[in-house]
Amino acid sequence: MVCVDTGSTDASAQLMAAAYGEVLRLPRTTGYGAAVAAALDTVPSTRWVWLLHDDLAVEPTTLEALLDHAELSPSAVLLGPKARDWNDPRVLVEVGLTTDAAGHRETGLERREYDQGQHDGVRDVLAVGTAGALVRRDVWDAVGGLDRHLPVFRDDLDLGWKVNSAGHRVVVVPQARVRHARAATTGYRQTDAAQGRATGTDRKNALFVLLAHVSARRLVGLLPRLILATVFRSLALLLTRQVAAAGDEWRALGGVLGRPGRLLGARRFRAGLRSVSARELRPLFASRRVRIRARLGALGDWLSGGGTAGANPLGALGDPGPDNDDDFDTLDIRRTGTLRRFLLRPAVLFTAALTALALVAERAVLPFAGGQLSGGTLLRAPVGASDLWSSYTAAWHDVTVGTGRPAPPGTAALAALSSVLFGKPWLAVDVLLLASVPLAGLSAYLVATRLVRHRYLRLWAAATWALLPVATGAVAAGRLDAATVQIALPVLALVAGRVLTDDPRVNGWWRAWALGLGLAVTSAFAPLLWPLAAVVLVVGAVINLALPGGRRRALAALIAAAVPAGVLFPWSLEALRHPSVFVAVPQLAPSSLPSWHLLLLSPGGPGLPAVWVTAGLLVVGLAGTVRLAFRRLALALAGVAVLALAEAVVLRSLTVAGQPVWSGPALQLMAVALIGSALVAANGARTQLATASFGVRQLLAGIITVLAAALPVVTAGLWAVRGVGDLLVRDDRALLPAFAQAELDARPGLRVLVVAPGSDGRVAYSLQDAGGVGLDDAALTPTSAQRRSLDAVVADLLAPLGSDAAEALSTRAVRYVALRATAGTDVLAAGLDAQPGLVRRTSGSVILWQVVAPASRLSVLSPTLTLPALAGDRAPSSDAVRATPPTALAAGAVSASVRLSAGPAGRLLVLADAADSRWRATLDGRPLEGRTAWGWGQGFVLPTTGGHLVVTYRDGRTGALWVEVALVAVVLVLSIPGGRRRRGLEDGVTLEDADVDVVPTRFVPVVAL
Amino acid sequence: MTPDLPGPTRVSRVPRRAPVGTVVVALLAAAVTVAGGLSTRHASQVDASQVDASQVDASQVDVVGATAVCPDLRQVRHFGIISRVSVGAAPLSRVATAGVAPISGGGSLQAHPNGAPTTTQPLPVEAAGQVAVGLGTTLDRDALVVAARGPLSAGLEAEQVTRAETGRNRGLAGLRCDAPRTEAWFVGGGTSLLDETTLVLVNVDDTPATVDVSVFTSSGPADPRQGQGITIAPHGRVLVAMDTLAPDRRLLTVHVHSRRGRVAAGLRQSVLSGKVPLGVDWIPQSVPPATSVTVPGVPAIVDAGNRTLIVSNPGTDDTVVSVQLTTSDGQFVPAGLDQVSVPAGTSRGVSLDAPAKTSNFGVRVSSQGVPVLASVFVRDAQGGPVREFAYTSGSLPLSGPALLTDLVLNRPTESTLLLTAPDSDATVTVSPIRVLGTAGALPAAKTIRIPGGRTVALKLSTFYPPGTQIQLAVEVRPLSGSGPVYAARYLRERGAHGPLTTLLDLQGPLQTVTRPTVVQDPRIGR
Repeated sequence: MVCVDTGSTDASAQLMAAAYGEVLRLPRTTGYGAAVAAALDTVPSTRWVWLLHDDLAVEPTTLEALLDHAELSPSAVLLGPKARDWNDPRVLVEVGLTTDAAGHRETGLERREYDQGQHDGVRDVLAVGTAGALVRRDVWDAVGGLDRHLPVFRDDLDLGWKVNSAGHRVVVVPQARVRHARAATTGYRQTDAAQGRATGTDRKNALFVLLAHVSARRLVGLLPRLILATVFRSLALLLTRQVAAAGDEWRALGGVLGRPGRLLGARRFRAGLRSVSARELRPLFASRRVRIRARLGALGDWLSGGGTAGANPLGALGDPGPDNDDDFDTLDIRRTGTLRRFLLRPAVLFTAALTALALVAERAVLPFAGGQLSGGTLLRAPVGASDLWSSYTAAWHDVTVGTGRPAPPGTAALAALSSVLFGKPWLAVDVLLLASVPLAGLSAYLVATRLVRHRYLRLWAAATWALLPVATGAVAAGRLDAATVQIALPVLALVAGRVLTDDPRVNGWWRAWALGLGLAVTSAFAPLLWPLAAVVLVVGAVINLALPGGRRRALAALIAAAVPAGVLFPWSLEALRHPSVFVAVPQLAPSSLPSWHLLLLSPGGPGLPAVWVTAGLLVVGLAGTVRLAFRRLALALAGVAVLALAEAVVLRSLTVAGQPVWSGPALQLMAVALIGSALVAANGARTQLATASFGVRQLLAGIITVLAAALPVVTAGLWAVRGVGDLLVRDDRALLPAFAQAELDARPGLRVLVVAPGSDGRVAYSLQDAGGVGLDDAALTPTSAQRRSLDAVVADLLAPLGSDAAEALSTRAVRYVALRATAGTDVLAAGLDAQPGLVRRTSGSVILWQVVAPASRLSVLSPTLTLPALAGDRAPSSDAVRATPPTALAAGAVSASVRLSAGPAGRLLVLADAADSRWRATLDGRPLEGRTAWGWGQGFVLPTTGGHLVVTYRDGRTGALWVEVALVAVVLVLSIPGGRRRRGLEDGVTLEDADVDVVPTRFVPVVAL
Repeated sequence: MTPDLPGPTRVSRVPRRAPVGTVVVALLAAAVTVAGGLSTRHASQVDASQVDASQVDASQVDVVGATAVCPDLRQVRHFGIISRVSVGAAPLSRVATAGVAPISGGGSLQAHPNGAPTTTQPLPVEAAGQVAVGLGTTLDRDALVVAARGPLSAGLEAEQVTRAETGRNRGLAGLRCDAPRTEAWFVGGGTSLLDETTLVLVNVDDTPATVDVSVFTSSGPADPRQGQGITIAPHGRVLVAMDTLAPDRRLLTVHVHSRRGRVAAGLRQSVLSGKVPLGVDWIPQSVPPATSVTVPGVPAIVDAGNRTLIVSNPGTDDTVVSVQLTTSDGQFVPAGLDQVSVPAGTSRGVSLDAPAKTSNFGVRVSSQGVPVLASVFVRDAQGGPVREFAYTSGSLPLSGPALLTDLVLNRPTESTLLLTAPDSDATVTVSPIRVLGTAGALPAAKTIRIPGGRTVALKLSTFYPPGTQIQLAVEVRPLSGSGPVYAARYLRERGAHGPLTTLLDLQGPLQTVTRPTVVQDPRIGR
């Protein structure tokens, strides 16, 4: 027995000396290989060498089992034991080693694989761990022992590989058992023998071993692959803010390739040893399939809930709650397959039940019939995701008379979702809207698992949330925004709770950024959520400021509230300037709503159950504040609920562009706080009540329980029976007759005015291009001045007063006026029939009128028409148009490039788009003076000469988009959890994915004979 | 158990704090709710520039543009045929109220032959309450388009009277020059051997118009294929001889429906038996089919003649109608006319000669569920073989001030205003209006009270002493609070060979229209 101490700082050297006599003392930078070599120098001749570590516990029979097998098969010269975990001896750590083409260290074990004798056969392997390995001395000397260039990590792999290629056998003998703490591998201690961090050293050594052993032919293909892998791995690490680890990657590559002499020497030495071909060794290597199977196994663990806590989907959002108990959460089914275990998880069963309910309730609008979902506040989605992307990146949007306002971020969010869903925006809409109830239930359930331990409480909370009046109302009225909020809000609320209560210095600032990012993404769909949630966060921050040590929490909350401004960048500026864009989509809110409806979480609008249904939730939510145990938390949640109620009351009193605002988003905030408060009230209440003597409290609790339990049952029943109502439809009908559609498609820029009887005796209208108004255009409203002037024109058009409304429409490039003939449209049709300047083109299900005055997106006005145009008149007189009609020029959807002939002085080039300072026109390169035509449109004064005319919209969008991309990237990086992990031994964590804090201790190799 | 009853069962409890927080939260929630209830949804402004303080509410607005088309002017000196157009601008029906300016000039009236839209002529009418007579005297065989722009449009009234001494077209033929429309109904005319009935279709727009003409007769609908797809070129005019659509039929009902564009339509009938002219006139447009139709202004028979009610059922269901007369003495249903069956797609004639011998009257036709049309054929005779006729059709009550622009007061011609108030008491004022170019003091206005269920006749010559010869126009204005009153003018000239007559209904020009409130809503665009 030779003991070597490489600079321990505790009393272990003395203990060794007391037990075994002499201890060889070496400098602390000595590697394991060097230490073993030094120890063997003191023992000139011996047949076997048994290598031991300081973090290794052998059993009395270990050596005997190894030697027994060595006797049995003389060809085995390197024998390894079965290594099991230090803390939990049931867990296997190592039964032989191998590697794959990429240099990964493979043990062939699953994570936390229990030793049930499944690996208890003596096998030939590529290598065994040095801990407890028995090696024949002559072979050891022949292959040069452990490589001195590998002081720690991969030395074992290198040794085994060398022994194998020298024609000997390496076997693992499971009958020999050891327990191994793997202090260096798990980062439990710093190794001075290796310079730099453990990960870097491991990676460098892995590359070195791989490159030293592979044949020259394979080396050629391997090198570029390794460099590429390094690039990708370091980028991925940089994205997760693991800058040091990314540096390690490059240091590892540089460390190996930077010393070609050493590598060449090592290769030459191993080439000299080689006595068998690489082909014969191939069975010892791990195939790629093994590695993929290992990854799939980890995924299966996660799906069936049997994985580690960190693998939980919500793990990134916060620490698992103190009550999180996976055993409790899983139905008691043992020894079943992964699929069955997955299907029988309560969350899965619950989601399936909600899905079935949704299928029943949404029977009328399911996607079997084909066609697109629309109706209520929902507009049709464009055909492809690329349409959404181009709509988002466009600088000029042809909505009504065109607008240069930034596209709403919802377009980008929906485009991203559609891109994932096979590039089909309609599918994204279907998923968000029709699956919103089950998805909201699932997200609420997963959040509830982090709050309470009782399964039925979780189910109650999730069902109540998923079936709120707001949720069913959102489906009935096609409110994509509310449906998205319904899905995302539970998770956001949980993270917000942690941001407001946990010190970010301890738990990381990433959570505040992640909350901001989540809020931004949800607000992209539902803009109103941002200001509403920001108010709650700011109030939370202010309250935190008054608490001891709350300054950092307040800052975190403020960060979360402010992040959407950056993520939604060009739009957020617009939103702060014109708050009305927060509620730009059609609202479908009742024009009058009693305020106590809001108190009962009923925002009005289509598809709501009776108001009293949710009364129980109020009582249950308030009950939490009565209990002593969690009074502060419950009061805080109740405070949020009251704040949200106040927001709802404010929203209800607002009108934007003449339409009342729907207060649903505020009520969603209120509901999430109330349900949270109810969970607080119920958590452990049964135990508490059961131990107290029976009295009024039990009775009250019973009543409250019944009230609460009835809530989701009643709402589910009502929803299933009533369905989604008749607002939401799925169809594919076209508005325009084929000839008109073809004409509009052929001449971009031409528009159609659609009129229809509206509510309250009003007449609704929509000015649109050939494609109609899509989902992406809904929020792009014209300026109020443009809208007012258009309103007046349309109102005049509908009244048979003989006005010049039709000519005014022609200046806006309106070619047709369309009316879908239904009951009650006779008066509208008669008014339009009587309108001079309009002639009826078709009758039938859609009545179409043509505007007589020529319509064109780009045209040249004669001097007689220029005068009224520049004077700001509403329209040219029909006589003047008849006498000198405008000359139409070809134009694209936005820009135009066309030949212009010479003409008289005083001509005006007019664009049927809203005047905007970014419009530019040049004639033969000379810029033209821009003027406002007809009081609203873009005009340019033309000279008498002709030439090449170019009209463009100066793009201010691209820059803003890049700023947005940069801001999103920054927020994304900041919101990825990183930096800190729990310390200590983590089972089954390999170095490749471990980012660990290292605790410096000494490394003491012990060599025994 | 009363609380103060001491008992051994009472368990000593941990002293509990009163749930102050709960109470505070509950009170806060209640306060917010109450405060929300008090604040009504007044136009709180999220964004001053977006919220629309000046949202255009549904409102009554004055008409600012109007067109009247006189479809067929003839000037044939040889036969003494002279068409004359008179144009007036009626004053507004309402008294100027706060915020609404009364009409005060500034508008312009122009006229042009339909075939030559660029040769517009300004008309001398420059203010409300003015009437010009004698336009279009140079125009032959074309339509005259009178266009109004600006404030005068709200009162535009134009009428056309054609007078011929001899020939096939001997007689008086008059009609109100109407705006181009997409739909027109006529009840009357025939295509028997003696009849010549012509539909005049005028397109005043710059785009072609396409119309379908369908004809119903006493013997059912005519072949519908004939009248389909008649195209009228821009600023063109098409004459359709009705015997090409429905040869040898009686009691025509003509429906003009525009598929594309608008047309001004007129239907003219002339009857000639050998060389004896039996009359000529325009058949006035009827109100669209309805279950209750009122035909005003059936004059009493003076010398000899016929009064025939034509009821037409253009639908696909048979119906039974009842006929009620509103005479100068009251309302009654003539014997046998309480149940007149009108089969689907046919017209039926009913003689009203008997009641017409004693009184002027208006007719109301009520159908049981199926919309019908009605008009009255008025034929006058004077002893000799020469006859003359006119039509009066289903009409609407006076909507406001209406103008009778072409009245010639002289001895052989008598203009009678027939006023029917079928439902309730009505009061109208009849005010003389000066025709541009005439002089002399205007007589005072008359206020006529029509008891409910009566018809009152006013001879317009009574404004002046007997024997006065003058060109006159009158304004007929229902007073506020008056019941609905139907009006027609009966022009009868005692000619050398026989009478010359024509009838003209008064409804009043379209002065104000309802302008709806509009709201932009992209959801409807699919």
